[in-house]
Amino acid sequence: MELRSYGKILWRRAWIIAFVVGVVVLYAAYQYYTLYKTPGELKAYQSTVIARLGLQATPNSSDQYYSDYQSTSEALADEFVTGPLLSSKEFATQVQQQIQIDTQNGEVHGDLGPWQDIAAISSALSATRTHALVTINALWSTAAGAQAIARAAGEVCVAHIGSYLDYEVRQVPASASSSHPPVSAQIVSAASDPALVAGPAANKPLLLLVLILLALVIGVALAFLIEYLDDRIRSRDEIIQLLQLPVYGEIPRSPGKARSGR
Amino acid sequence: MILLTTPMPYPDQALAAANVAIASAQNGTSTVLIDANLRAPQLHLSFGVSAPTGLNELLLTQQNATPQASGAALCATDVPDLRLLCAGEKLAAPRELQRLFSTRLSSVLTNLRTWLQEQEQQASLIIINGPPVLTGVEASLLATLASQTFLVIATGRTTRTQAQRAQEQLQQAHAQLAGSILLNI
Repeated sequence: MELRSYGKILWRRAWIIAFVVGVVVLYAAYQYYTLYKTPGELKAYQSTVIARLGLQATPNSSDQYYSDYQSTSEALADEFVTGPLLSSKEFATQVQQQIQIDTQNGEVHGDLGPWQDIAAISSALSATRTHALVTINALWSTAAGAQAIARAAGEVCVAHIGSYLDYEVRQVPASASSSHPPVSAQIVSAASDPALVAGPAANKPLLLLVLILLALVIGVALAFLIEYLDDRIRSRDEIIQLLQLPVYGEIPRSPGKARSGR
Repeated sequence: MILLTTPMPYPDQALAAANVAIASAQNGTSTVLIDANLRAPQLHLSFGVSAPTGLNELLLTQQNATPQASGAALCATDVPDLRLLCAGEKLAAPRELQRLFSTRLSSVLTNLRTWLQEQEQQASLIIINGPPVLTGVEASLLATLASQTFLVIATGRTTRTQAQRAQEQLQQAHAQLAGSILLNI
């Protein structure tokens, strides 16, 4: 079959392609509109705070345990970053309470977004580490909110890391004066200015575009399938091929529906 | 004598036979167009004629139908050299039609031929617009009497299976299937 006959088939069955593509385009448009309207999906703000995790230095600690302390600190930092602590409910609750305190103190202001949603806070936090230096990322729909969360997370680490991380199981909380030092955190770099980055659903528009292209391909395939299944006769060549009979004439379409006689 | 028939019934199928008949008449040949599609007669509407006597009445008449009776049943049309034998009025039931076709059709057509030979100096052409092949045996019966049969195919409506089955049925009836005509409905 030559290209022109393909084109004719597609034109004849264009309604199938239009229908399939139309339905998918509507769906994709709706999805994109929902993403566009939800703040923080396509683009979000990110703020980071860097803290050092390690064992609390005491006046009478000696350098001979330095390498042990170093490896312990790194192990603790790894536990913090890759473990379930950051996304736990307790941590998020404490962050939220910290934001509350910060707001009352006037240290944070502006549009903080839905900061009272514990689940939203815990899903906004993530972390990476280099040795014992932990970088906590806060990804949020508003700029001020991202910075407030990062700041609060740093503050919670400094104040409460001992209740999350430890290198032994203790019955009573450790204090700085015990012989075995507790785990502590120290803010190295305060919450950074919020930067606009790609949000969590940033690759969705691309997927929707691919979906539309796929719908087009499927539409074309369906059109050819329906054409194949349709066994009606359309041209004189088909008759000659099918019946092996010569075609003696072709009577054209009668103009208009008026049955005036001829 | 030419038979034009379609595989399945279509609303405008008589157009093909009408067109061929008009073309032949305009060419100078004396033409008689017979509307043998007794279940759905259309030609009397197409040509705007009405006749009390048609093929139906000729088939129902008693044994001694004469060439004169056949000749009298023909109507003139607006096209010179073209005469029409309508389907008739008060059409018989389908079973009855089958019986009539198988028993009396050949004598009716022979009478008509005789009358034409007496009337016309030159050769004349009889074109029969037959009923659909696949809906009954009348088309096959007509095909045995016709010298040539043409299958009228409606583009966009006739399926390949229908066309093939119609061809098989006509061939089983030993029809002289000469060719096909495309009808662009």
